[in-house]
Amino acid sequence: MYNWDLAFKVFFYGFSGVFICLIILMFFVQISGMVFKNFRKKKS
Amino acid sequence: MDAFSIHTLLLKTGILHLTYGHVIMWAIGFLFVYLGIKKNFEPLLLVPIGFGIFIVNLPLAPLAGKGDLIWIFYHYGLEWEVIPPLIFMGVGALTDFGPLIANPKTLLLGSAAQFGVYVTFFGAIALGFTVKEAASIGIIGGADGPTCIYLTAKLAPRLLGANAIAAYSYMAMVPLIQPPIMRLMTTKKERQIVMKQLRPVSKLEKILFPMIATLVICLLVPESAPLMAMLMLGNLFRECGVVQRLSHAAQNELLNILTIFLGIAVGTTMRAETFLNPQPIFIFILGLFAFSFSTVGGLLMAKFMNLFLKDKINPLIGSAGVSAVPMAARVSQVEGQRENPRNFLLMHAMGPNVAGVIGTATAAGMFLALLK
Repeated sequence: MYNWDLAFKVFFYGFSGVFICLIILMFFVQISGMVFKNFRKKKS
Repeated sequence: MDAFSIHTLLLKTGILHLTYGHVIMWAIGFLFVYLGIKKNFEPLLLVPIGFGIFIVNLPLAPLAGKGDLIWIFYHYGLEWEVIPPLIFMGVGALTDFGPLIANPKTLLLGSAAQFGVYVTFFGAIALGFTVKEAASIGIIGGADGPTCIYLTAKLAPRLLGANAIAAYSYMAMVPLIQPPIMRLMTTKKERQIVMKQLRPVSKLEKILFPMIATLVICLLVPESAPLMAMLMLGNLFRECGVVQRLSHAAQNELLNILTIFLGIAVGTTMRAETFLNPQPIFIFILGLFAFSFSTVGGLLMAKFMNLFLKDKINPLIGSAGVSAVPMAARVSQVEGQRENPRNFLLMHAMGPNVAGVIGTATAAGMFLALLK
C-alpha cells in the first residue's frame, strides 16, 4: 500500500540535496566575503 | 414546463440547492473572517480566504466554475504558478540578506530546519496520503506560505486549501509553538550565550548576493528557479539603489494586490464537496508536527555547530531557520532576553530566518525534481 522505497529515496536525496545546495552557497558567500575583506585591506 | 413559473424560478435560486455541507463551510468561512478581524490572526490572508470560502459555497453562483471570475484568479494565479513567485519578488524586496552574508554559517541552520518537512513527509505517507500529497503536506514545516502553495498547486492541487490554511495558521502561531520547544531543547547556559557582533556588509556584497544565490541554487535545483529567481530579483531591486520605484512597487502595491488574489483563490478551493472529510484534520495535525520538528532540526544543528566553533552561537537562533520572517527571529530575540536581558539576538536570528526561506524554496525544488 505504502510506497516506502520511493519515500526513502525522496527523503535521502531531498534532504541531502537541500544541505548540499546551501553548503555550496555558504562557501560561495564565505569566499566572496573573504575576497572583499582582502580587497578592502589592500585598498586602505 | 413554463420558464416563468414560480417553481422554475425557485429552481434557479440557490436556496433549493443548499446542503448541510454548504452551511458548514459558511461557518468555517465566517470563523476565518472572525479570527482575522477580531483576533488579528494573519488578517491579510484570513479575511480574503474566509470570504472566498463563503462565496464558493453559494450554490449556483457563477464564481468558481470554469471560466467564472474566481476560477480565472485560481487558474491563472495558482495553476499557472504566477502568484507565488511574484509574492516571492515582494518578499525579496522586503528582505535584508545582510545578516546572512555577514554570517553565512547560518545557511546550515536554514537547511537543518527543513528536517520537519521530511519527517512529516513520512508521517503523511503513513497516514495514507500519496507520495506527492505527502510532499505538499511536509512543506508546511518550512513555514513559508507561497512555497507551500506553489508546491501544492503542482503536486496535489486538491489539498491546496487545507495546506495553505495550515501553513499560514502555524506561521501566525510561531510565538506559541516555538518557545516551549526551544526551552526543552536547550540548557539555560546555552540560552545565555552572547554572540559576537556581526561584521558590516558592503553595498557591493549585498548587490552581488542575489546574483550568486540565483546562480548557485538555480543551477543545482532548476525546479526551484521560479521562486528563487523572483526572490532574488526583488532583493536586487532593493539593494541596487537605482530602482526605488520598482522596489517600492514590489514591496507594497504588487504584494498587496497579489495577496488579495491569493486569498480569494485559496479560499475558493475549499468547496464543501471536497473539503468536508477527515483529511484536512490530518493535514492540520501533520502541519503541527512538521513545524515542531523543523524547530527541533534548527536547534539541534546550532548545538552541533557549537561543538566545532570557536565563537559559539546561541542555539536559540537555530529555531529561526523555519522561515516565518521575521516572527521566528523575534521569538529567538524574546527567548534570549528572558535569560539574559542584555542579549540581542534579533540580527543574528535574521540570518537563519532568511536562510530558511532559501532552504524551503530549495526543498520544494527538490521535491519537484524527484516527484514531478
